Amino acid sequence: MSIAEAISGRSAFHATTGQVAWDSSSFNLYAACPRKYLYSQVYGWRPRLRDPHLTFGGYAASALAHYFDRLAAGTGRAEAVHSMIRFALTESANWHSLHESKHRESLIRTLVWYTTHYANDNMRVAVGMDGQAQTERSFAAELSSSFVWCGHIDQLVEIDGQFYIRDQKTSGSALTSTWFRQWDLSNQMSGYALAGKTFFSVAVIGVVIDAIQVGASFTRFARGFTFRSPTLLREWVSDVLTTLKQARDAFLRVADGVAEPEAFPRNLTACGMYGGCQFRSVCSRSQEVREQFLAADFERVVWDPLAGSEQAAGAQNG
Amino acid sequence: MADMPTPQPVSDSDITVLFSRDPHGFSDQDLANIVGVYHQQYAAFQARPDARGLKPSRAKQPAKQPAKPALPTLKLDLS
Repeated sequence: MSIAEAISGRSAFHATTGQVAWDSSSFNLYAACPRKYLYSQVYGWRPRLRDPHLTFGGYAASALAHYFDRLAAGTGRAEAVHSMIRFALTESANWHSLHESKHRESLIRTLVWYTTHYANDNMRVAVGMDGQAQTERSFAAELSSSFVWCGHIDQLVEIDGQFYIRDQKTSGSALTSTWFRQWDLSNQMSGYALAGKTFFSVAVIGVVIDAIQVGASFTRFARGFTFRSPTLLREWVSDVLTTLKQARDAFLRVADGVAEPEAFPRNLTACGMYGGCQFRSVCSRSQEVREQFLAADFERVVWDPLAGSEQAAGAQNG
Repeated sequence: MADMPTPQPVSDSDITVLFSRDPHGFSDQDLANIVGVYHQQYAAFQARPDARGLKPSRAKQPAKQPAKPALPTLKLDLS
């Protein structure tokens, strides 16, 4: 399969200039390693074994969205908690994690503890003119005439008449000030800040991070904030566009006949980042056998930032 | 839902059995029991000195005393 075939019919991609709708996940992939981006984002190769951290975070986010939706609809808190737990148990029914702290029971514990911890929270999920809670909102903000930045917001919240974007982050790490400072330079949070300036009809002050430390027998909570001044946001957009133009050039080079490995080179300094790249076992093999190793240990699932959903590659292309 | 079931005491093994059940088979009482158990666990954890992230040994440490000078003070006899 070629790049042209892999991106055919995908709304986030242009046939020759490549990806035009980006999100923080695909951007971080390219910025870290063009080859990792090629494997993961363009061809959609994912490990057959799902990452327990991502799975846990996904279930927690959708269950909490369910909880806040129910509250916004006027459901009492206790009933909303029961409804959320039933939802989470049903959604995670086929999840059999072997991770020591990220599994189905710790998911339910975390959800009950979170809603108990913030039972009297004066930060409330904003409700739109249509009466819908502002949860799980997808956005697309224009970076330039060529590129769009997409994202998915957990919640728009309001406190004392001021609005923030709230993101729940689960972690195995201690929730120290150092842990919170990492978000001051996060592309995901900068994207939220951009959405806050352009997407909502209200002025968004910043991003609230509800941090959730999940241990083997406990869950801890802490709340932090991150802000982007207009100057910082402009600099971030400029930096992002520089990288996106490099990515576009890579696609154009392939369209001109340059070999894919040359246009999307490996960045070997990134192989050990974040616990180790999942493609190390592929990149360490000779080029002629890499496809076989990909097919053995990975499956193809394509991610479309515009659609905000995953699809099996066969269904996408079919 | 005006009448929420009151949580009943359940053991750890009861909870394990509940988690292994088909989720469509959960009764309101099952949900109340699960939520009740985790409410109790939350309250117990919050009572621990490390609930906010401080290690117990660190939390119990007395305030630090000012460090003593590493070198002996030189006393000058100006008489």
